[in-house]
Amino acid sequence: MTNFWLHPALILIVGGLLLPLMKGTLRKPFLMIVPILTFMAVLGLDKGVYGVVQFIDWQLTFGRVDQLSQVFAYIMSFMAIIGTLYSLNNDDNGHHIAAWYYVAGSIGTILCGDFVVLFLFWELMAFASVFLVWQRKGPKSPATGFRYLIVHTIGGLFLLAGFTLRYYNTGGDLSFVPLGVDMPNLATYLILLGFIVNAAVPPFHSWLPDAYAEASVCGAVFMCAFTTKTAIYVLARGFAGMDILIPLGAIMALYGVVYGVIENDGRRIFAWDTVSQVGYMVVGVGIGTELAVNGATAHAFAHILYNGLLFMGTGSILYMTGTCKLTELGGLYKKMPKTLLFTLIGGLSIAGFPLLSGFVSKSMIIVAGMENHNYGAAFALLLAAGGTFLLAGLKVPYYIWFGKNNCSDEVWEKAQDPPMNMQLAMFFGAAMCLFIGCYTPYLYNMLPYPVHYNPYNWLHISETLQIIGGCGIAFFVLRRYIAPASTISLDVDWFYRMAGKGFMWVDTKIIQGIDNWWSEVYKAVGLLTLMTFSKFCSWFDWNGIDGVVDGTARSVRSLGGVVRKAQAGNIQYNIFYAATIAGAAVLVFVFA
Amino acid sequence: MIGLIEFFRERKLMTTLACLGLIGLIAIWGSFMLDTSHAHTEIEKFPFFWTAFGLIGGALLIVLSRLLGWLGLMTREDYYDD
Repeated sequence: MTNFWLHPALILIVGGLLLPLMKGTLRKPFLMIVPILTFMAVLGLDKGVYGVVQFIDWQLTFGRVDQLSQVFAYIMSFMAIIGTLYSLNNDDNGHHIAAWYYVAGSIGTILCGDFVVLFLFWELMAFASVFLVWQRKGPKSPATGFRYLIVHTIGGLFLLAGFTLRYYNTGGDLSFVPLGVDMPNLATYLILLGFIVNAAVPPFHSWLPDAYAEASVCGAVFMCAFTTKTAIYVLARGFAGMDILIPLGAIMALYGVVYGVIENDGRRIFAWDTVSQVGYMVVGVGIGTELAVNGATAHAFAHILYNGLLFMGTGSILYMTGTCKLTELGGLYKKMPKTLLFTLIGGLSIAGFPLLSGFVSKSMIIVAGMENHNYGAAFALLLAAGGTFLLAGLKVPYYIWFGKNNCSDEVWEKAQDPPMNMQLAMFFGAAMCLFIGCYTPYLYNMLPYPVHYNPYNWLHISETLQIIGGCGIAFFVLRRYIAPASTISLDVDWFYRMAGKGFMWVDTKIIQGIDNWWSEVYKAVGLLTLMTFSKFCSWFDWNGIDGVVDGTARSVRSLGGVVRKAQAGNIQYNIFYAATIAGAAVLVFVFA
Repeated sequence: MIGLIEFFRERKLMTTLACLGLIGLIAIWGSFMLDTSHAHTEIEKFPFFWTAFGLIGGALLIVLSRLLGWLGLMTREDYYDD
């Protein structure tokens, strides 16, 4: 154990601080060097406990490196390279700093050993990532960002309440270890609630399609990778085997597909697909067996890559054409063929097509469900796999690239493959999807437990191809029902959006109304009474108080006036009157 | 790649029939030519089970989603802007 240890997240944090100083030709190399150094720092991590700091009465652990944290830190730092490469043509330093701090939050959470450090990095993730929403700088961005922040702050408060309660229950234990899922108490449930908000488990999921679809083009590439998968990591660490997660995950997997079918915006469709795919991982954690946790980890790893690829592909369309709505696109294979190829690889990966990454990861969770006799969940996940193919393998490619051209002249004119750095990032993402799908030891050797599973058996391949084929026929027959429409979908966020509007209505109509009424009452009654009373006071002051004082003064003034009349200013008259009065006085005194 | 896509687009009927034929072949292969004794459940051993699962499941998802959308989930784009 040593305190002298370079935390990989620190490279990103310091890099973010130095970035504004990098000008001209230095800037782009620096942008790439920072995430590459972070990835190398993660590769150099040896298993053990590092960065232990004494703070007040607590021993904080910044670095717990084991098989589970290693694989998650590996893919997070790798995705930081791809995401930064994709954003390389983004001149706004604010984007890169926010993105790096976001990744730092994720890596910090993954490597932490206690709840205080976890909370610190957890909140860093939330507060850094909201800037990726605001970076879009659209009319909806501020409100979307605040909704995102409010939801994550509430989730963070659940987490804080949970581990504080646990701290007191256990007599001061802050360590982040498996949380006793067999006998959960209030603290356990509060911590779970904090985690599942970030995992976007219904009904706490609406922030995800809301934020991912409204984030900046490059911001969404980062956002789709880190928050939910970090949540899967903490769930796998703390809640492996928690039964409630199995039905929740299965519902999630289907919920995302149902909403994806009726969605019109390409990035929002993949946001719903994210909800669905994270559902697989939640089921895997809930099952909790070695195969299931391996499956959840493998699927998180694969999902980060293919989901990033899908958001890069649809982000490229948005970046180049200014829209990502299926009703405003179509026939783009002629204009953006490379983007089509990369996005198609991502789409087939998420659908679990053989030789691609999703095939070797999600099947582990389904087989774990079958082996654990969770047949309902396993079949729900298989159905969701078919639904995912409907969305990512058929609906999006068909209506963006192959279907009827609904592009306006302006959109068609602007459409072309994106800048080279974006294409390169997509190429790496696509290559990784193929590599993982074709060479399973690369991923399987990184997983937390030894893997005795082979996805490439004929039965599994035939099952997958049959489901995909069946869904393909369903799409072909019912494609007019899956056709996009210029609509949005109401979801659970309706409640808090309406609650917000309701609050504003109560504030502007009722509270403001009461305030206005009170002003009128005050004006009519209070002010009148006050004026009357003031007038009385003025009168009393004038005639009462001042009357005594001023009355004397007035009397003196009146007397003075009278006397003044006697003062003609002629000295001879004054002497005459004075002498006469004095003489009269003497006579009176003598003869009286 | 563009040429390949246009090749298939110009031959829509042939492409559709080829895809359907391929799906049929895979269904026959999976149902009759593979050992299904290691399947996890009995229902998986029925011929064409997974094709039917994909077809019916996919259709259900489309119809259910559209129905929910029609019942009120889908609304105008400026709904929250009022």
